[in-house]
Amino acid sequence: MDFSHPQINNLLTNPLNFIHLINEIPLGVIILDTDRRVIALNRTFEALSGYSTSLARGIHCRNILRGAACISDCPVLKIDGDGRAISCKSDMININRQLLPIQITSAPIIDINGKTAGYIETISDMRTSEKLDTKKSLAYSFANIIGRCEQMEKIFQTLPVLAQSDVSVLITGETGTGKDLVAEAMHQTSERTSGTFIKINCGALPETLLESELFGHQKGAFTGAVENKPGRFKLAHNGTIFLTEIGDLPLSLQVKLLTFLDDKIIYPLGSTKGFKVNVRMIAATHRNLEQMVNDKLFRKDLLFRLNVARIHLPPLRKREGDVRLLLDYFFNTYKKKLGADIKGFSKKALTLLLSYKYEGNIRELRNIVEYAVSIANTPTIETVHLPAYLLEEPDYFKQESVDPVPEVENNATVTYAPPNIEEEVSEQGTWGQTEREMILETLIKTRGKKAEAARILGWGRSTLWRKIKHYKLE
Amino acid sequence: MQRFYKTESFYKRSLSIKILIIRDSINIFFHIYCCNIMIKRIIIPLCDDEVAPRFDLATEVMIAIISGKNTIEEKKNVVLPRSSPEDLCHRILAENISVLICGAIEDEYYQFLKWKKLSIFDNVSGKCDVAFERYLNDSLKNCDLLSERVIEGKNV
Repeated sequence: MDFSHPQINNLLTNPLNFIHLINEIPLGVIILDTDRRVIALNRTFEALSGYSTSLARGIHCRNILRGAACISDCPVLKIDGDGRAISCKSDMININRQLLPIQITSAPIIDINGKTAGYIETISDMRTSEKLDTKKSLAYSFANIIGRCEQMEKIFQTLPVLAQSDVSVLITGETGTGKDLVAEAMHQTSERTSGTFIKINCGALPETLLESELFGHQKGAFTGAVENKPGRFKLAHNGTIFLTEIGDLPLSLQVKLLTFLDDKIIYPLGSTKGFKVNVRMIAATHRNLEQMVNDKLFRKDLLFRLNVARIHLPPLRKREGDVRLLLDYFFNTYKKKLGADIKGFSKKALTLLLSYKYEGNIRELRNIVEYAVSIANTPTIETVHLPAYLLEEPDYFKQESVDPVPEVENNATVTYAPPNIEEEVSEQGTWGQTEREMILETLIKTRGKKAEAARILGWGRSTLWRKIKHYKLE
Repeated sequence: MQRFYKTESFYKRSLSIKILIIRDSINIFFHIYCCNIMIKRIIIPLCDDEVAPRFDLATEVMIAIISGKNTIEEKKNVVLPRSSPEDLCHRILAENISVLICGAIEDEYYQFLKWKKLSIFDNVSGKCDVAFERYLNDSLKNCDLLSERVIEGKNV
């Protein structure tokens, strides 16, 4: 029997391609034999787990699904002879070492004689619903983006409309303004929500790897290509692909991306046969793409194709009234998470927090609140519980610089505040950056010896390790 | 009484003896140093006789000590009181383990153990002995699926 091309007979006149059929199901699907060995996987499960059918075929399912339930309480073993499906909540670790909450539904496959011939397992990714459970009934928000200033209200009005359309979207904004959240929210509220949401950081991978990662490759296309790889575009079929840091995409790949945007066909490396994929593209960057076009670092035609609709996320310092809202939101979140018995911020601390210019935007504000809630040992958060740099150098951030992302006029969605360069503050002034430089200098001084560096900095080795990981210094 | 004169040949002989002693000491020291430095402790979380599909859910581990030219000095199975990734990380550090062969491992623990300078072969599945032998032969890789591929009792 040819396991690589399974068919369904006697359903229609001609035999049907079984893999094509299960690929269209928006849930992860695994087909197992009676010994729980993998016969076939659908595309959604491939995207979820990172294993392709060719890699997984014939392997025991617990080594492919790697769910907690597979080890402690295998749902397939609980199926009775009556043929009813069994469902349970669990988690799995995929090939990229991510722990994902899932729901497994297992059912027997019955042959024409009424005997169990195998099993079918469907895997639902529960990340979205778990997030929604915790975030529901939040006022002044869309999905999990919070804000009530005029600019954000405009964005909240525009987002659902844009989400329902299928146009390419370019999200711009400074670091920490929530570009990733907007992209994910757009996918969750679009008609593609049952499809996969795949995020790729264009700046995180070298050019050669990125091409294979995005478009896939054929077996034997280059040394080490021992298997066919579908590529992220193919895995995101019927879903959304989110290209973050699009400004860092190498020029050669910009051409390939442009070709894809034109005809929606991908050509894996080493393949002459193209695949037509139905993917919605969302791109994001903190860079000034117009400036990059002038400097010939970004293709003008690609910018035009991506820029069908643009969402510009305003920096926190321009979002009037949102600082208080976000402070309260994060305070309540961390109070609950850390089990702290704190009533709120003291008047002095609140004044300081409200007057501070958040260079790192919402990410910085969140970190400050998390720090304060962790440190505070009094009923209210005082100024001493805030990070020292807020108190020590109040004028440190008052240098002026230009916003890296310009405000762009756009017919489809103009959701930004007018540019006000004078209000902008320096990128170089964040505590994070100072701390990063401090760690770097110490590591250079100690010739990379982390234990010695930790001693000089007065931290534990674990703290230094955490910070090195946080600032991506490795 | 015959007097003992320290002739030239006497000096030459004593010098060569000294050189021999120094050479032997260096050899012994080098041997001891090499034996210590080449000792590797390997841990494989287990599920029956296979590599555990999940690092965090393993309740048994195989610990092996190899020295020099991959000679197995000791090999033992340890039953853990409970499955806990934190406890397992602690045990790995306490036992001075230098190589971890495991199935699925969460990124948090992977990064931590990498930082602690462990060599990690993750996403490995199949019989523990096969994985261990492959490691000794220097042919083990990440994501190796070592178990037999069988569908409905037939190899595929």
